[in-house]
Amino acid sequence: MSSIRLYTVVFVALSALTTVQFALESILLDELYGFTMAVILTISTVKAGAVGAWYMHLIDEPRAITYIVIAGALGVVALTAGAAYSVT
Amino acid sequence: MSGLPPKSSVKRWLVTTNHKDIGILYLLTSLFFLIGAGVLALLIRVQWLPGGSVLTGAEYNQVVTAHGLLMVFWFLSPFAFAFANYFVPLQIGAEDLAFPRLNAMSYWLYLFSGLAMVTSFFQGGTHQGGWTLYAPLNVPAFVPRVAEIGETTAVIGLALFVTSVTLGSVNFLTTIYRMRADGLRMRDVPLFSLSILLTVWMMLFAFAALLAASILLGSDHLLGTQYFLSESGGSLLWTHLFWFFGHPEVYIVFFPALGALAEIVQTFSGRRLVGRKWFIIAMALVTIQSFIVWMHHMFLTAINLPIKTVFMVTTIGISLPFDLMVFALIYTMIKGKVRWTTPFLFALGALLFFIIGGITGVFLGAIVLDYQFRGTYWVVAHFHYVMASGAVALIGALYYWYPKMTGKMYNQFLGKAHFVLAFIGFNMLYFPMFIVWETPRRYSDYSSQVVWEVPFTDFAIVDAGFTVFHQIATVGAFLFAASFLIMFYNLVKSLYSDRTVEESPWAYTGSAEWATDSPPPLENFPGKPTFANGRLNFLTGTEATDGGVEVMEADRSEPATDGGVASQVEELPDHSHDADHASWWPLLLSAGLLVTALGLSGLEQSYVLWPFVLSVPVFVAAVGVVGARRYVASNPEVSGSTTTHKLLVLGSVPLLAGLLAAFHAQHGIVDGFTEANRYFFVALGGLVYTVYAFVAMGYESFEVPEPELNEAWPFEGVTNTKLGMWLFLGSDIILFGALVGSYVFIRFQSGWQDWWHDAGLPEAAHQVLPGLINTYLLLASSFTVVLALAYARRGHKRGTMTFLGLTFLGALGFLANKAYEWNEFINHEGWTQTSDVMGSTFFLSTGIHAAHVIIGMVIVVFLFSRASEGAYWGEDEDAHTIEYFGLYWHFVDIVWLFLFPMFYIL
Repeated sequence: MSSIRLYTVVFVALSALTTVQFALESILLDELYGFTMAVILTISTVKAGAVGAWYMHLIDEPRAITYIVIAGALGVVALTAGAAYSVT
Repeated sequence: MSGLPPKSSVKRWLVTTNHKDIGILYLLTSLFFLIGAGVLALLIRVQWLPGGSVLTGAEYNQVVTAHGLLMVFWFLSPFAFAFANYFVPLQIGAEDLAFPRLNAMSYWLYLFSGLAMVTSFFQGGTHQGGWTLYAPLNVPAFVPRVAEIGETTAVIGLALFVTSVTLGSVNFLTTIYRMRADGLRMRDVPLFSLSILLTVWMMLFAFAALLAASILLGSDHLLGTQYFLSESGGSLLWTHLFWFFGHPEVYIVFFPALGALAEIVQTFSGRRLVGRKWFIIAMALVTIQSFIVWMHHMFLTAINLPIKTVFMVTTIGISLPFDLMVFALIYTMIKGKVRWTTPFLFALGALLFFIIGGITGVFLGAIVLDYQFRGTYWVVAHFHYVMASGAVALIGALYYWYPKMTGKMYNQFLGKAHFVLAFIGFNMLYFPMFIVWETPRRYSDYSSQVVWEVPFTDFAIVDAGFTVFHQIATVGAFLFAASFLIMFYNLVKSLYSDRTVEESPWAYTGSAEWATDSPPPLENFPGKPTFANGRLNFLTGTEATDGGVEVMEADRSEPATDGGVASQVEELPDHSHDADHASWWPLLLSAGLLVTALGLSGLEQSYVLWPFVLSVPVFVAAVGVVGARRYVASNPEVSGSTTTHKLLVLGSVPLLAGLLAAFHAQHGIVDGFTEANRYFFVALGGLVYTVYAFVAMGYESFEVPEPELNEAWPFEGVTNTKLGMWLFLGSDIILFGALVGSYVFIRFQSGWQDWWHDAGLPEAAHQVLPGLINTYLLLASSFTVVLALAYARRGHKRGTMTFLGLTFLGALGFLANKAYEWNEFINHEGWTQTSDVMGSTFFLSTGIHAAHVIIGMVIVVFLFSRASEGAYWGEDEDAHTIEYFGLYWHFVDIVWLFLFPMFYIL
């Protein structure tokens, strides 16, 4: 697949997923808040992964570059989850 | 600008980008801050002499706070990085750091941030709440009105320092990973350089959390947000952010000292470190563990017991790798034949201090014991033993590497006298504090009897006996301080002595810095270092003896040829004469940031800051005039971007002069300083100049050849710039993650689903649509950026420009939509960042993101302009510029992908 065609497919997918998030908010959020929140945040993570993988070309870079990103993300998860859990 | 003036010229030290020069600048500046912070320490002790009340309570609090901040941030780490700057490239066989101008900028930002911190004393008073800046004593509502500007300056100074550290971290990581000499595997990198590698990993992530905390605190001061005043865990949020940074900071301070200690012990024991591999694994383990122990600093806060227990276990766990390291060092001494030189004595002293500091720290890691010890002199003694262990090891490093840095040997007797006095003085100072550990911390006056309630009983101890121990400590403090006078005398006098040294004054040295002259030449080595055959050789690309290339052995006693590598070396490019080593812009850009920072600090008030503020642009203008004249004289034929650079250099002078004239014309500098808007103009002027200097630096022609024939595992196949960009983004993930995490924490504490009910914004006004539209717009702009890159690679100028233009329009649409939304909230609903913590988190989070969009738009204009001149085509280095910008832009997009659900959907 040429790079331009790939970029276009990714863009369409990202836009579609955004629309799904909006639809979930409209249809399901009030009834199933926790579940819907988890799905919406998971979709955001998938979208971020897609931008990183194809638009930022992580998929073509040495794997160690991806590890830098994962290390940063783990730091954020540790701080946010640890802090939030500490006040439960 | 390429020419580097001689060391005797003042100009050299203003423009240099050479790592050894920068190392010396770091060394001198950190010693300057050591003296300053040391004098503050003596003031603390004098305060407690009988009848020696020299400070008011508020002054005492400022002195204690500034002593801690200056010692930890502006002395200890930068002192270590003096050696890192000087010796890491030498040890790994590199000619310089990966980004020399960035390295110079790190130094200038460090210096200026320290000056901002010192300046805060004279702006009505600096921070008074201790070096941890605990909330709520760090927010305007709890700060004396007279000290508001000084407080803000201290916070902004800290943010500038963090910026310096982040730039340095990216630089060192890129250097160590991608610029090692041929054949130098990562596992064989000398221990000091390895310790720096792990230190900068911690710095990259930990300081990003501190930057997030500084930004939120600065916002509470300047924009009136309510993060740390929030009843929904505002104070607790600060402790989480601060200690997520603060505990790794302990190892950030100590690891370089540990690396130096290992080098010194190896050299003066005459043998390789016992268990070297496990020593390295233990250091790597601590690096990771350091991020999961932060809540042991919070055992006395409202966090729950299960999390305290988890963090007690992780804290005890982190002591285990240290045990291994200590035993490895001790066993190396036992197995070797120790030579009792000055550096070794300091290394041994440091090890003893660390053992005492470490063991007493384990007590504090236990929840029950911490309930007793917290807030007492046990803590003071413990962390001073740990910190001083780092400082003493680094003093040992100074004695170890001084002959290499200066080419002169010092007086060994005076060095040992320094050690003896320092060792006795330090222990007299801090050991008595363990004995009288019940003494409460942070008191400014112990002259009246100390009443210390015995916990869980009705008894109270009225004990004046503590005074004796504290007076012993005061004598120790002065002995410790006096010992440094010996060091300064010895080192300065030796500089002018005739005790010259050759490559190495010590036997059994093993790393590459000892195989070159003392001090090393500009290019570091007599040839290209290589470890390809398992030992250090130098390849020279010019003097062929047999049709190949001459290879000189490490000790350079008998140059030898090695036909075996000749074919490899025939390809060896000699870039050494191409490299630039001087630029004005790191200094000028940093000065612009300082002016901006000082302007920002007083947006709420006006004070007697002007003489200092004005002195900076005057200084910058003066060096700008000299620099521009020299530049034109030394570059008679310049074209393209270098012509633009020349114009920018020349243009900086009237711009600065105009700024100065505007200040004088409108306000003068002698009186009438009552309106806050002057600070606004300073901030605005500083910001304009910073942007201007940033662009000028981008246009400057500055050659840094990427080394060839080097080890780059595990980052082969990417350029230095791309790796640097990714590392920067790694740090930014923590920065934005901490900002979003702060919102999550406060919302969680406040009650997640009640969040918008409690906000001062009608729920009907809280719509998903603006966020949805902006998500589509940002995704589209990310799409157009990759298309611009694809067309640039195909050499399609029009396509490149079209998609860059569309990117700009997408960003413009994003901002227009946001402006409309904000206008509705602020002007129609009356909901702002000061209304409530919901408003604070919403406006600041989305506002910082919008600021990144604006920065991106400025860069797009720059790219568009250069693309119109025909830049970025094909696959050369210049073509990667759009790709690097794309990395930044997509990251901004990714941040929004999380802000959208967090602030608009949920």
